[in-house]
Amino acid sequence: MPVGINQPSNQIKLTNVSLVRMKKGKKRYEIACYKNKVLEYRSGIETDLDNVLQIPSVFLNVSKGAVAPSADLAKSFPKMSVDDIILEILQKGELQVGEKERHAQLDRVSREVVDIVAGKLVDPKSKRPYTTGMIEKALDQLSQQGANAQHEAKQEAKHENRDKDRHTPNASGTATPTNTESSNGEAKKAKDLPTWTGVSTTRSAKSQALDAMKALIAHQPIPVARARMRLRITCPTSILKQAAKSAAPKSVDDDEDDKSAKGTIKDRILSYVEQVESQDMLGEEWEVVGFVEPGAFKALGDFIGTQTKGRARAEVLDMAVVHEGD
Amino acid sequence: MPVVNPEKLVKLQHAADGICILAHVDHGKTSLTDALIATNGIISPKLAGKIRYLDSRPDEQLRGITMESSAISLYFSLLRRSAPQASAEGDNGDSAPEIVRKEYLINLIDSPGHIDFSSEVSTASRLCDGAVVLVDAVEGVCSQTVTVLRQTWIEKLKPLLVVNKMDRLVTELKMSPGEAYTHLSKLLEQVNAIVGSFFQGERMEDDLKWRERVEERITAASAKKTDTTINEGTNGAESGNEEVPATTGGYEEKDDEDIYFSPENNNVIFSSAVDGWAFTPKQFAGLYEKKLGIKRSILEKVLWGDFYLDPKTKRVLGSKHLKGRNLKPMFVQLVLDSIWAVYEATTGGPNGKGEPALVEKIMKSLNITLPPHILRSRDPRALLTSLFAAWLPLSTAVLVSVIEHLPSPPVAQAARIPDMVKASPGADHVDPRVRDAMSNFKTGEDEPVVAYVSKMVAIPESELPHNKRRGGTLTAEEARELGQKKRAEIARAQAIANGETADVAKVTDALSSTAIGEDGLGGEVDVKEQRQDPEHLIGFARLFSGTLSVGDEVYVLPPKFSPAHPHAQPEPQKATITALYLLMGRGLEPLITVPAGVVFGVAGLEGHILKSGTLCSQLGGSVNLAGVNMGSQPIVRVALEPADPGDLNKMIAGLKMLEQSDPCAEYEVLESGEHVILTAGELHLERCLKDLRERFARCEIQAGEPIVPYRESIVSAAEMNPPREKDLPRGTVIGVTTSKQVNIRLRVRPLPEAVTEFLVKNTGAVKRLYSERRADEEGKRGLDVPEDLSHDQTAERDGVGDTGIIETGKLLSLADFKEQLRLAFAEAKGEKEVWADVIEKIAAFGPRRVGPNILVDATQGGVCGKFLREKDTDTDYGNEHSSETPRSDTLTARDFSDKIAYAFQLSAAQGPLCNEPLQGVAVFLEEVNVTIPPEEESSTREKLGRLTGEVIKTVRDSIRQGFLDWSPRLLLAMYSCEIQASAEVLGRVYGVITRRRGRILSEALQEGTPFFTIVALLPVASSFGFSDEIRKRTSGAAQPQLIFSGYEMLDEDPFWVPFTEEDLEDLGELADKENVAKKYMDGVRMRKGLFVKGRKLVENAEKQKTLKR
Repeated sequence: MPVGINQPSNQIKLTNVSLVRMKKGKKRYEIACYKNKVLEYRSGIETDLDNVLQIPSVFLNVSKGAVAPSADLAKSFPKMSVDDIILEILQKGELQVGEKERHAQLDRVSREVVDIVAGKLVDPKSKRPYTTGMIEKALDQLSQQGANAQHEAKQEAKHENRDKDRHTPNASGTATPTNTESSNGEAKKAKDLPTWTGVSTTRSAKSQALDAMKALIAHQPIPVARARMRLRITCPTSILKQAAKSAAPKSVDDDEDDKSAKGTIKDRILSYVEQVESQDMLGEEWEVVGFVEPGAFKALGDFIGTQTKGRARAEVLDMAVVHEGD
Repeated sequence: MPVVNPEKLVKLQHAADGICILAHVDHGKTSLTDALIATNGIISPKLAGKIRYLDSRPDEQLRGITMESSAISLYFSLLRRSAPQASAEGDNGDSAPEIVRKEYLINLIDSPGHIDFSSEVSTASRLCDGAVVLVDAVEGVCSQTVTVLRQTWIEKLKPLLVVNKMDRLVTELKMSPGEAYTHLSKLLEQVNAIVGSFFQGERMEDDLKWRERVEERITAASAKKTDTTINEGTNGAESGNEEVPATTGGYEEKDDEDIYFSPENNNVIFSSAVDGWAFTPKQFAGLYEKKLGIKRSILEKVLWGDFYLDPKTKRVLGSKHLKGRNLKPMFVQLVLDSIWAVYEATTGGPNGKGEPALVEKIMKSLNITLPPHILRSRDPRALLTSLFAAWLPLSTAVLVSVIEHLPSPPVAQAARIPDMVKASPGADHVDPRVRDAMSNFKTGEDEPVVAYVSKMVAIPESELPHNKRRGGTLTAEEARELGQKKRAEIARAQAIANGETADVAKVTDALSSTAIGEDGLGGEVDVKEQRQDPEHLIGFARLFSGTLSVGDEVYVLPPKFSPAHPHAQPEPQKATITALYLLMGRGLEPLITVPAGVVFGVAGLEGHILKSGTLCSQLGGSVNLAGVNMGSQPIVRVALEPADPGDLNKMIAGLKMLEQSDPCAEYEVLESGEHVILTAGELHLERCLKDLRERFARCEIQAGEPIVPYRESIVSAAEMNPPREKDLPRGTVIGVTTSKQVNIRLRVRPLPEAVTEFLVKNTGAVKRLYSERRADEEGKRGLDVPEDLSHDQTAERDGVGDTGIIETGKLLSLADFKEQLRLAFAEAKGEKEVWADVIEKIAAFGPRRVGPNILVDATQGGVCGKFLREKDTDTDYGNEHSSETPRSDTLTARDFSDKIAYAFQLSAAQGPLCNEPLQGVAVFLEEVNVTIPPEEESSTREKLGRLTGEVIKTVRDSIRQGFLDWSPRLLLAMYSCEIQASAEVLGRVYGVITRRRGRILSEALQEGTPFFTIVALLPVASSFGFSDEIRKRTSGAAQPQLIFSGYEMLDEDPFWVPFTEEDLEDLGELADKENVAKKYMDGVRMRKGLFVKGRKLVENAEKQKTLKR
């Protein structure tokens, strides 16, 4: 028997090797690392290089054992020692994330998301926050629902396609059945609602948390609402009675004679405030303290910025108002 | 025995006698109760002691322990001779013409013995007139025995001692009668020693009080020179000797004779509940009266103790006259020997089957005839029990003793009420009429009604009597159910009679018993079937005076009520009694009226009584009986969560229900939104959870550790890393916003300890000052409001705010607050100049504007508003501030003051260690520079919005950096833990506390008792399961009480790693010694999903494995 024959029994499978690859100078270089260690090294947890690298050399192909010739290396990485090249590849090369690493990462992100969500949502009745456990369960429920819905939607889509296929011979497209249309509309409605399908590692925890909150509020697996912000809005009385316009701001003088818009600035400001805690006229300042839904804050800020030319101010007293224990 | 119909019981309510049965767990309370119930024909006598009738909950039956106290009313008739010497033979007495038949009703309360349910015991004992204390003959005095004895002592209940499980001495320990006698006398001594210790304790206390009184009197006498005798209110029997003659000073000893247990006083019963027999020496005295020709009264005295019977002369000898003869004591010879003989005859013998010849002989001598089928029975126990049932029936001995020895309600109340009233809150304001009615047991219609409701019991609607099926024929389905139930019953009876070969007699017995006991057991099944019924709360109550009828309106006094302020909030409400019930275990019998002294169920209090309370017909001068008896505090804290988040509301409703129906469970919602339940122990918790799942909430519920709060702080440690920036003092950070337009320089410093402590204590004051300032500011800003008016306004506001807080603690006025804060700062050692004028510069407290961290405005111009400024110094500051800014178009540092303050609040709420609030940190704002390039000047207003975010972020980051420049510390939430333990278990208590990183604060011997009181601090983080462990380790002898006491610094830097050579040498590079602070910190960071430094997924990389086949 010739020596180099490839049989299952004399193959050596790399069981605990994860590769970090890098393309440089039209060559692909690889280094052999231990599994689940590269990300730790990158984040600085693991400092011992021996615990990361299987062997301190650069390969062209690890599984074949092809070590990169030093000439190639010198060409691609001019004036770098092998150790430096290895570090460079370790830091910047692309790699497949290990199972455990991915898991840990996901876990961390989801905890962070849940923590953020738990800090911003309250029970609308009691104004008390929910525990992270409750939020987690509710989100789980949502993602399950979401998965089911998607599944259904896909099936429906298939169904529709089949329908269409059936209809194509007619080619006119005049007789599309009404029921598919309506179901289509429903599906669209369902699609409009924000969904939650679990965390991913690619986006920041905060933006995912915002999505999760939207989904929770839309589906209400448990009664939730955004914790309100408490704002103090002050505005000079002189411009209070002026009519607000949706158009771009003109000069102050123009504002005074234009009364065609629907409400005064005061009304508009108050429409943003869900619950007014106190309202006062203090000399030439009008002040209102109240709770505002965080989603409306930006709109309010814009409104104030554009309509009052910065003469009114909104001051955040509390980011999230929750029931405080005594 | 005939089945006693409820109507008869109802009629007998007037002669009712309330007793409770108390003992250590597994000493046979419920078995004894069974035997008593059997006399009323509710269950078969054959099954008494096995069926545990009053354990009506399925889990009680399953575990074999009682969990809830339950009551039953028993009828008992006694044939009494009209002669003063009462017959002890009860029903068995011969029908002499002078015998009078007397009927009694006994309200029996069976209490749980497990330590977790000791609160049930304390409430049950308050309902009763007398107590039956059981002691296992083999195990002797156990921890709970001591507790229940103390309970009877405190409640002034007259106890009756039952030495139970005598059969174990014969069958298990194989003692000879002589050995058993010495064992029993030792046991009695033990019990009496405990009672004696209570007496001693009280005596010492009395002695102390007496001495104080004498001294008082001497001073009074010398002052006035008049011979005033100080009239101490003489209170009944207990303090009859309080009137000490004014001249002589001798402390009068109380007689302690009658408190001890001794068989010759007839307050000791020897019994075996499982075999169904019991006796008092008195009974035997009656038996032997004729045989020996000794007078009964003499025999009663000599039957127990070192007395011997001279076999020749038939005379009783003392131990002196023995003259070396080896005689058995009379108790052994006359009593124990014969009992032993019965055991030998029935279950003894060569193969444990008994000796028929001996049985016959005994039967002859006792003049007993047994039916032949029992004699032929292959089960020796059947013979044994029937023989004893004929000879020494348990119920007779116990019930006769109860009736003879324990006081009837009028007597008991006369003895107990004065003390009870005295101990109740606001006792001086109790109406004498009420007191009189209670003490003298007045049952008249127009007498004031006083009743004590010990707990609320939740009962499914279907089980209320008016909903129950009355008579009627069974439908096929019901019959089938009944059949199933019976079969289950039989199976259970067999399982209980373990090991014994199932014989036909047993099965038939079981069948008949279920048929008879169907009424009660049916209820049990009902619970299972009709889960969907709404639960009704029924009060478990006792009437102390007057007569209560359905439809009466009574005031319901909450436990915090005090007759001193009858109209204080919340004012007691009137409730209408909708129904009254006679408690028959799980079953209820409707009543129309109840007279005083009865233990009964009362409906119509739902929503009025939370757990316990007092019912009274008048509001002014009524007595609050529920206020004092908090036996044990619930200590096991668990956070609950429904498995399905949608069930949250169900769970909350269920928890509220549970809190009402369980005297020892508490429910609270934490700030974090957790629903926490407090229970007395792990077993109690399990029961509560089961109740919640199956009855109250009806949804799956998960329990877990509650979230433990932490605080973060900094200290100036001896060895710290060098400051990050070499040329700046430690903690100083210069923050630059991303647009490079605002520079902020601030310095973070640890606050002196005294100041932190002061701020933590006076959170309320800060809060109020804050609201006051805001109110003030508003007043000031409205220029048209005159100065003094605004003052009035604030004063008014304070008044409103104060009412709620007056009791909780002192609230300081601004001046006081400043003064005390100044003192606190002055206490700080070193760095005096830093803190010298800080108070005037404090701009804010944080987090939440009230916390123990301060933002100090150390800028030149004073960018931020001053929090603690005097009212008149810079009154128009706020006005100036708000009106000035809009006018000018340039941005100044002042515009950012609120942003900076807000950033401070944020960073104080979430520290850099693990996002927990800070404590004891001062942030000095040193400089704020705004440099805006002139070309952008025009649009600065629009820029403000963008800069806001930048400034907040920069300040936040700077504070974090400054914080980490110092040596950070984690503060642990601590419980102050008070433990009472006897000297034997002291070591184990210490062991448990130290293992859980607790710290002993003090240890003191309690005067007059053998108990030590240990005060320790225990981190909340390691308190989960603490009470359970400490109980296990000390076998229940130590009882911890946990109270949250605040935060304590863990003096360890969570980032510390060995770096000096010495440390490296000692500990190695990885610091083998675990860094506790880091462990806690990482725990929290893990929970919150924050990055955990140094946590590796894979500790050591694995080498390539080449799998060879």
